[in-house]
This record gives sequence, structure tokens and C-alpha cells, in this order.
Amino acid sequence: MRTSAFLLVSLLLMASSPSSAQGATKIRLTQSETKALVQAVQDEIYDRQYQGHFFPEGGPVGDIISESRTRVPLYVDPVLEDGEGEAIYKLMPYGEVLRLFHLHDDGMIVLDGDPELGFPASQPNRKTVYIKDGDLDRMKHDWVKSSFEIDLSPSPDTIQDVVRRQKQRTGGFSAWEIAHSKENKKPQ
Amino acid sequence: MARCKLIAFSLLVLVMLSLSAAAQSDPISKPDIQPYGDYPSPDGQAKAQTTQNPAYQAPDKNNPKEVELDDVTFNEIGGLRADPRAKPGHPGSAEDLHDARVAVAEVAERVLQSSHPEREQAPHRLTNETVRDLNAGNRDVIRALNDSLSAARSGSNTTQGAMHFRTGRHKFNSLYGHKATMFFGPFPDATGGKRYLTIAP
Repeated sequence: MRTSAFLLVSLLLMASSPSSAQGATKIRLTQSETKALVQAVQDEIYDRQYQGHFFPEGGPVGDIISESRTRVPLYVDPVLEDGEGEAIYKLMPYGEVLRLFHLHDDGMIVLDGDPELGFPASQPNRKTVYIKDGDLDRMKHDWVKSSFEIDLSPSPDTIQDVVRRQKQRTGGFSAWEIAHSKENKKPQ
Repeated sequence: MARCKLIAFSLLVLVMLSLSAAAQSDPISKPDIQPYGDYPSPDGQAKAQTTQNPAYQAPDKNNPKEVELDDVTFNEIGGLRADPRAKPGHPGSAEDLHDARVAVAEVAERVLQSSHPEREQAPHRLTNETVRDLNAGNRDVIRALNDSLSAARSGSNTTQGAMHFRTGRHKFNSLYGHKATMFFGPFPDATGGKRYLTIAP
């Protein structure tokens, strides 16, 4: 009887341990995780100084909020597999992309891939022009629709926060820092 | 009798749970980034190393084709890592990853030498993040770059004239309507997830 009880308790303990929790290969993205994804997308845009590309001559990308602010749709697969999810959004200057992302244990979202690679068709992070129209329509229809806002001229404080968060996500890399480090080295 | 059955069942479940936990992908530790100060341009490639790290073997700058192929190969699958739990020579192992790089280098070279070299692949230069990692002495990146160069120099034909490849979260049955002929992986990706490489004629 004691042995049975011990085994049952062991089973319960193992079922509630973190390793078993990781065994759940599919989980649903929560609202706070979707917010974290929105922030990751915005941070990357500001860190790489892509925001100007959202405001081309002739009209902005997304729905205009003001002359210097736009709201861009973001479609998110509500199901994460092994902590990995997918999102579709317009990432200028590349155009609309399918982007993988990772949910870390601390709730931080890290976008997959390096935008400098240009989202070629050979990669899992790819421009949506390489996805069949029917598949793309279905994904946008079935996925959760969210959005992110982009400011043409983010404040210096915003940029500082962006750089700090990006470095946390990437293990120390910030495209903004590199760009400004190069600028500072230019002869006066 | 019922007690025996319960014990046996519990033991079986315990074993299965252990196996299941072992089969889960361990999160990949963040790259071992060290402080950095100087940023060479991607064109200038990188030079810095530390004594603890594998030596970076730069491609021959006088051989633009080699530089181009090395960089394309790295950019396409440089983020993949060998699965430490894979048996040598098995899918996901270091040998499998090297073979995958050789396959990508072969196809990439054929595309570059074809009548349509403009067909989109990953860029022919290293990204700022790669150069930063290289200068910071990131061992995984140095190893991946060295292996990419080795693959670019192999001059082999393991893919038997294949013209297409694609990396993804799963294998692909076909590319461009051609049935896939080779698969590599799964490999852990540096930022998380598992990736396969598919090759087709």
C-alpha cells in the first residue's frame, strides 16, 4: 500500500515538475504574451531604425493615426509549438513577412532570424509573397488579429529603453548602438 | 493482484514520463557573448579572437567566389547547431550539420554559376550581428563560419546536381515540384526551435 502511495505521489510530482510542463508541446498565446510580441516587433523596428520606411511619400504603411504615427496589423498564430510561434506583419523596407518568434521562460518574446538576411524564400522567416495566396488568406483569417503602432520620431528615452530590451533579447546586440558607434567614429 | 497492476502501471508511466522529458528540446543557452568595442564593417569581415576560442579561418579575400559562397552558406544555415544528444553520423549530429552545409554550399554555388544568379538566396555578405558575434569571439559562430568555409571549399557533388534547398520547421516533400531527395536535421536553432534542411533537384 505504501509503495502504491509513493508511486502515485511520484507521478503527481513529476506531472507538475517544469520538465513535464515543457512536455506540453502546444500552448495558446496569452494576451500578455501577445503584448510582449507587439513590443518585440516595435523594438526591432526602432532598434534598426526602420520607422522611416513606414512613412513613404504618398502615404503610410498601415492605418494612419496622425502625420507621424501609424497602426500596422499583426496576425498571430494563437498556438505555440514548443515555445515557438508565428506572426505575419509588414516589416518595412522588406514588405510583409512571416516571422517565427520564441517565448522564453521569463515571458520575453524573441523574434527569430536576422532581418539583414532579407527574408528569402529559402528561410523559415520569409516574405509572404512566397506563400500561396490561399494559405496566406487562411492564416490571416484563422489567426488572432492584433496591431502595433509606429512613431516616425521616437523620443530618446524610448530609444534607450528599446536598446536595453533588444540587448536583453539578443545577448548584447543592438543595431542602433552599432550604427551610432560607426557614426561617432566618422571624422568631424 | 490489483495492487501489483497499479504498481506496474505506475512504473510504466514513470518510465514513459522520464523518456518524454528527455525527448524535449533543451533551451539553447545564449551565445557566450563577450564585451566588444570595435565594429568592423561586414565587408571588412572580422579579425579578433581570443586564445580560448577556435581560430577563425577567413576566406581568401583574393577569391571573391569563395568569400561569396562562404557568406551565403553561413547566412543560410549558420544559426543551426549540432544536437549534442544526436549520435555521431545520425540526423542532427555535427557530421549531419557539416553535410548540410556542404549541400547548401553546393546548391548555392550552382545558383551563382547558373544563367540566373540573381535568384534570391541569403545575402553574399555577413550581417552586422554576425560580425559583432565574430569579433566578440562567439565560439558557436566561429565554428559555424569555419565549417561553412570548409563546405564552400569542398568542391563536392553530394547533392548530385540539386538546384534547390529550403530550411524550415519541418521537412518538405518537394521544392519547385521536384520531389525532395535529401533531408538533414533536425538541428537546434541558435534562437530556439528545430530546423530541417530539404534538398531537391
